[in-house]
Amino acid sequence: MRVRVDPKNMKPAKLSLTSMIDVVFLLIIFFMVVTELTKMEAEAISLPVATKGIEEDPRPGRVVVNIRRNGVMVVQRREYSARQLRSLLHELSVRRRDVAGLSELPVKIRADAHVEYKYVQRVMVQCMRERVWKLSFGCVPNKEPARISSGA
Amino acid sequence: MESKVNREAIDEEKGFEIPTSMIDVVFLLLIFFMCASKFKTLEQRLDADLPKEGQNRVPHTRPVQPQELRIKISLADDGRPVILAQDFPCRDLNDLAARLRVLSQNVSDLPVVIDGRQRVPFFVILGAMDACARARLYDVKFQAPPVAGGGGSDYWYE
Repeated sequence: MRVRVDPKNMKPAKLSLTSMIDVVFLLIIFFMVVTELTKMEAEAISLPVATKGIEEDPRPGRVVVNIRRNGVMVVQRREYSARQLRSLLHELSVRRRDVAGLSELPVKIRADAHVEYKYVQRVMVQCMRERVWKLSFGCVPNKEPARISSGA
Repeated sequence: MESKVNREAIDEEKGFEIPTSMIDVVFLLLIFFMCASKFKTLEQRLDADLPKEGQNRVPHTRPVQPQELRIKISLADDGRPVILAQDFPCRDLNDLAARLRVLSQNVSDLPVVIDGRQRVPFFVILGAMDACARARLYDVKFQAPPVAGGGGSDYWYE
């Protein structure tokens, strides 16, 4: 049975943009949430430069220890003393020990470029005390190494 | 016929209009949040695994093993870093990398011990690690700080 369509009564096709608004709202919410989450782990620190750095690949359960220029240690926006840091590392590493008692907990140290080495050593010592051996240091890629005029 | 046309017109009046102006507002908000977000610089890392022996760290009194390279980093009186690779002074980090390549020429994967004084800025230590990576020396260890009471204002231990 043939259906007869009268062209005079045909309405112009309309593009429905309702679902596009939903997509745009989702994008806005995504950007708002992601912006807050990325601020939690990383402090605003001027990292040292390196030419042979490896691409950042966050390992599951990684702990990021930020060290400010004045030596203060910050993890997830909270300041820690050496003893508190050791307690935290103990709490996190005890669940991830292998047969030999070594911890599989990866720790990343993001230290300010001009912080004194002793503060970084302090974190390393706490890691060693808790049998944490997977360490990495945050750096910023650069084609040339840092400029140092040696006093030798 | 006329009533049918009128009914259609009324239905169209009450019908949902496409909110094009709302889309403009939403896009403006999206652009605002994208511009207000501070995109962080791409970050990299340098791996430096600690000795798996745990407490058995490199003691500061242990004699230098012949099969390892030692980089000593301290500060001169004027505050400038002094870098020594196997007691050879290095002008800068490029010189250190070149020196390491020469010293490690015959031996691959030579272990390197970085012995830095505690007041040295961290970027010098990391620069030394980077120099090791450029010289293809990836077995890098760190000299442990001495125990408290070991003497000198340059050392501490907690």
